[in-house]
Amino acid sequence: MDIAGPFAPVLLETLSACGAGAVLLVDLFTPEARKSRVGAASLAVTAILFLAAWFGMEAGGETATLFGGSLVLDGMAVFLKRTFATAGLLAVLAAIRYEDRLPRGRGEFHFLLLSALTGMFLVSSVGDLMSMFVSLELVTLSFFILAAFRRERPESVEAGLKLLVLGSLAAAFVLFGTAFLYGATGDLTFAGLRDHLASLRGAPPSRDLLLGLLFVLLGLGFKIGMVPMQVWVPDVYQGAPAPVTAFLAVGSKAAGFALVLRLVTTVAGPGTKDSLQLLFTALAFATLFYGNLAAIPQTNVKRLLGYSSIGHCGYLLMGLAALGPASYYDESAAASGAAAILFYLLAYALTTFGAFLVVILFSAATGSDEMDDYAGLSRRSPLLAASLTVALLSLAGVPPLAGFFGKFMLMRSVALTGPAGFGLLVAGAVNVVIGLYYYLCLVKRMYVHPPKDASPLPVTGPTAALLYALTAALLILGIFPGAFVTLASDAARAAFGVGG
Amino acid sequence: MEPVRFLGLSPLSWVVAIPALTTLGILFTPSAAKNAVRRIALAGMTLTFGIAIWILVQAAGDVGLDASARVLPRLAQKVEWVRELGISWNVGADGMGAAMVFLTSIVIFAGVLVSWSVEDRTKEFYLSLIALVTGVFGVFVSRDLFWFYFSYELAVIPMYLLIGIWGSTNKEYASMKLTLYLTTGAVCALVGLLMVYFRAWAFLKTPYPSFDLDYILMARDAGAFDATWRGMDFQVFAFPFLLFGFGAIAPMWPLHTWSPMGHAAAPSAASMLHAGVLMKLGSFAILRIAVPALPEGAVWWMPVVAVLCMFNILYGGLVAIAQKDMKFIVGYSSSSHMGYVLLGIASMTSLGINGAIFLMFAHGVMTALAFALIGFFYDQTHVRTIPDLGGMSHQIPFIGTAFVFMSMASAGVPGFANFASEVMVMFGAWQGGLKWQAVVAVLGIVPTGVYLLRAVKGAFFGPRNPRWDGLRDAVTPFQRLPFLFLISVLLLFGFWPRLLTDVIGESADELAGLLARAGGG
Amino acid sequence: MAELLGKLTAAMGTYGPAVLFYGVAGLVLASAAYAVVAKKIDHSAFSLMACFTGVAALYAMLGSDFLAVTQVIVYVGGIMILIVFGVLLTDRLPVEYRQISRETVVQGLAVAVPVMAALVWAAAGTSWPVVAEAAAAAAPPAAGGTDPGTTAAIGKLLLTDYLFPFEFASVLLLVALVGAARMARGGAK
Repeated sequence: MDIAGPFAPVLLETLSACGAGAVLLVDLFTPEARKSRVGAASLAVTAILFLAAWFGMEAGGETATLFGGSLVLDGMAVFLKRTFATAGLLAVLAAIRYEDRLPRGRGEFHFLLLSALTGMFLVSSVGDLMSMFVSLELVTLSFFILAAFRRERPESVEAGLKLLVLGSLAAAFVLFGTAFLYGATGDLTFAGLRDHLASLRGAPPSRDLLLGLLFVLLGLGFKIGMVPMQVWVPDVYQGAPAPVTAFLAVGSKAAGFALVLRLVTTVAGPGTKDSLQLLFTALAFATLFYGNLAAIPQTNVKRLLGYSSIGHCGYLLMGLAALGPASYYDESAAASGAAAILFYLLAYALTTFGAFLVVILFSAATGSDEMDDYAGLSRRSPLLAASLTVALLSLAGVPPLAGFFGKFMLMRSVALTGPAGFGLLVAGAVNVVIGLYYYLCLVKRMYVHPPKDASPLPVTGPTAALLYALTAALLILGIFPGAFVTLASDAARAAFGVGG
Repeated sequence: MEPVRFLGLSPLSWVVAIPALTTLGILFTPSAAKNAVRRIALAGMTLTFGIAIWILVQAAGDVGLDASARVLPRLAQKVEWVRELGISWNVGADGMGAAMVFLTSIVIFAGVLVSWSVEDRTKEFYLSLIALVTGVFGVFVSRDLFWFYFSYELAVIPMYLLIGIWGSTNKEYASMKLTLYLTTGAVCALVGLLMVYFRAWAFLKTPYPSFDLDYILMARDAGAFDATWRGMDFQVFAFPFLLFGFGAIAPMWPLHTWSPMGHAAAPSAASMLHAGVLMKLGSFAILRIAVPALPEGAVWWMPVVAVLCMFNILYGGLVAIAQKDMKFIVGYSSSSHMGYVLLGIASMTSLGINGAIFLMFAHGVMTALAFALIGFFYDQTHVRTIPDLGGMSHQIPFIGTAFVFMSMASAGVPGFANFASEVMVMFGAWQGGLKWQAVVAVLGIVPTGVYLLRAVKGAFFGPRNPRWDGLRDAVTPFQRLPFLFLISVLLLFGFWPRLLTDVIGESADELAGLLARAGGG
Repeated sequence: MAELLGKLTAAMGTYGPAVLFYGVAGLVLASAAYAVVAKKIDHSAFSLMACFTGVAALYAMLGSDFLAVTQVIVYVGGIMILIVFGVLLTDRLPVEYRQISRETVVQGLAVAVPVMAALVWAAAGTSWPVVAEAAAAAAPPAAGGTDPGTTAAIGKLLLTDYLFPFEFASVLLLVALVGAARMARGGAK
């Protein structure tokens, strides 16, 4: 069902921007004693967005554009918007469980969550470099304030500051790269970039264009936590309020990959394919091993998840490395890599929130994020322990969970590049084992070690329902992925221009 | 050919679906209702056992019939699952698969019974146990590489929880080691599977690639795997990924070190499944996937296996002699017995492969019996080292007797299924030209006898030890059921091996024929 | 303004524009460097002002009159004033904070050298079209006609092709406003 007609490309953006404003107004007119209404309003907004994204948009329709190509709505954009809408809903649900710990300013907190979400919706369908920069900054700015939201805690301020300073550096890279791209092509739109490359007829593009691309990719690499732009990740993950960390983990990564995919589908062609594949293979190698090896010695859950998210960025980069040398079924492999990225992002969103929800509930009850304090959680609260275990195993890529299927798709797409992708395939396989090790270390604490403090941790009914729903979603995505794979695959094939 | 369906699913699909549904049923049972959990598990596994018997009977009835009159092909079912990736739910069985499904259903049936006494987190225990066995069944019936790998991984992870939570002796280290070894093996095999998948597609050039085993075999016949890969013969390059990947769980020397430790640490039912079934996944996968897909690679690598399996047999046997812990003895003995299975495969003869599959079955039942017995007394004594035990036959004569039966089966005394199968392996090895190995395999029986007799003597015979006066024997029929059941299975197939060897024979003939053609060409 | 600039460059002869460009560029670099190493923060602030002004001059030389004026109004006129206010109204920072350690220099070089190398690599390998001369050759400004400058063109583009990012920048500003209020009010109850 298409409920917005020609305005479909701005449907969700408009709704969420208006919703954000509405939340601020509700906050203004609500007395201090009734502040939970603010969360309810925010929840209502994200619920509407969720429904509109999943049931109010055509996935397989024609590509629609608005504002002279500034906004593009294609299958890839729809898939990403659905992922973002899901993440936004979960972020608000998590924030509601967290907001008692906020000194004040719930309205602002929810406003910023929604403005970040607006930015993500925009990011998924931008059609030119200028809109890309504005929407990317909308996401970054919202997150920087959210990370520093608990100003009374030095860690939180540090997280915000790191995000701001390094985020500005990344923004500078993106802008500088944009300038180079404009200089090389005389056009700011992705379509213009594509036309320019097509006019080269397979000849290598000029150096300023390549440098522009590299700078933009490095700037986006900051958002996705790619080595060598990953330094902010652990500190920010640890310092930011937990719902923000979860939303940042999912949203920033997915937003960054949305743009990287947009850029790569635009520029991938006979002249650039080999060098892009080489670049992404190298980046995937470095990111995979850095993230997963550095996660092993961690003792803080949020830091552990931070490093592991770098590792997950490495897996996602494998999908880009599947561009493949031209001699094999290149377009299909490239499209299957992009489809795998889309699917993985959705699975990763659900899994990450599953894990962080437990982290939020646990630290609300005990005030700790240390892994050692998770000892014996299965005796204190079987539900929390089981939910976290399922989420961790999904992150590790164990069947029958969503994360397994995502990793399987990524490795498969690399395998389709033949001997050229063989090294990366082995690296991916090795990292699955490393990942499994450190996730199991946390599972071991929860199930094997005796509790230090045996007091039970009660879970309220709605929270339990949410945990069950997330677990069910992970199982469904893992066992019955067909419909989602079809959506992702069609979107990716359309983006790469592969028929059939 | 009228397909056999029950409520839309083939009995082979039900073999996986029933444990999966049982897992779900247990998930929605409250933790406090421990008896309900146990009964759901037992009901589900009894039903699966019934289906497995039915499948085996059909397989036996098919022997010698024309292809059109057979029942087994009618059990195959294929449902498209993910079109873009070429994944389909594709189940099918031959004699080898039917035998393995039967073995699994026996072991899990007995396993559910002996786990009745688990009181700590009962729900989670049965959840892990049945989830594990769902994966095992999935491996044995699936004819799609994706589901094969999916089930294989699914079988590994619950073992971590089973050992980590309900285990004993060094369980944290053992469970982590086991999981990491097996997962490393699994991902190594995955790399091999994906290479095969890619080559098949790149050669056949169909619109979509496919994980269907029949598609892979079609590609093999078309010559897809005769290419080179970075200057090497593709089959020779890819085969070790599958061989050592699956070999880690087999457990092939030197990748076996997780195994005795894992056996020792695991709770009874987990040890039973682990040694009885899980280890068979490795050799089954080699026979089901690796050899049929890459026969020339197999011919190239089998001499290596023939050497490695000697280490399994001798090293496992000799180390077992030095052990004091009963579970370690059985653990090392398993690694030794699996050496015979690998020898049978390496012989590349129909007789040897038939014997290997039969031995997988016999050893599975025997070792399940062993761990069930050890678990039974360990629950009460809390020690299993031979010097601490002794004279227990005075207090628990039934368990003692059953243990003697188990030892005789394990040592290869005629009358038990193990004897028949080991003889087949040895003859097969001789026939296949592995004469030295056949001699060593015969000699390998000597240490087996030594460590088993030591165990029997040390634990059960000798003067009455007052320390064990409080031990309770298995007296009620319900308690005795799993032990009697397993012993009778061993005796049944020991006296009448043709019940199984005929069923397995055609699969073995086919594999041996394939290898002979690959070796000749 | 471009007309003015054209007259100016014409008056300077062949090497005049190059001398002017490198002079201003040197001033920008030197003032930027001094802003980083200056021992007193007010020195840094004023040095930064010189840097911003120099950049405005560079824009003007490249024919971007609108951008040059905007640079002066926004950065020199607005942001610098705010920075100076901030400097005057806050306490002096502790001295250690201003010291630059050897480690920092090494780390900075580790980033800066590859980036510089990449820039040089790209600059050396690209053919740079000379836009102004080409445009002047194509359509010499009619004598006595008014020079439209770039302002009108930018205005048109912002309200047509780039309407969307232009409008959505206001949402960005709203977020910045809320954020600033939040950060200023702090976590105090």
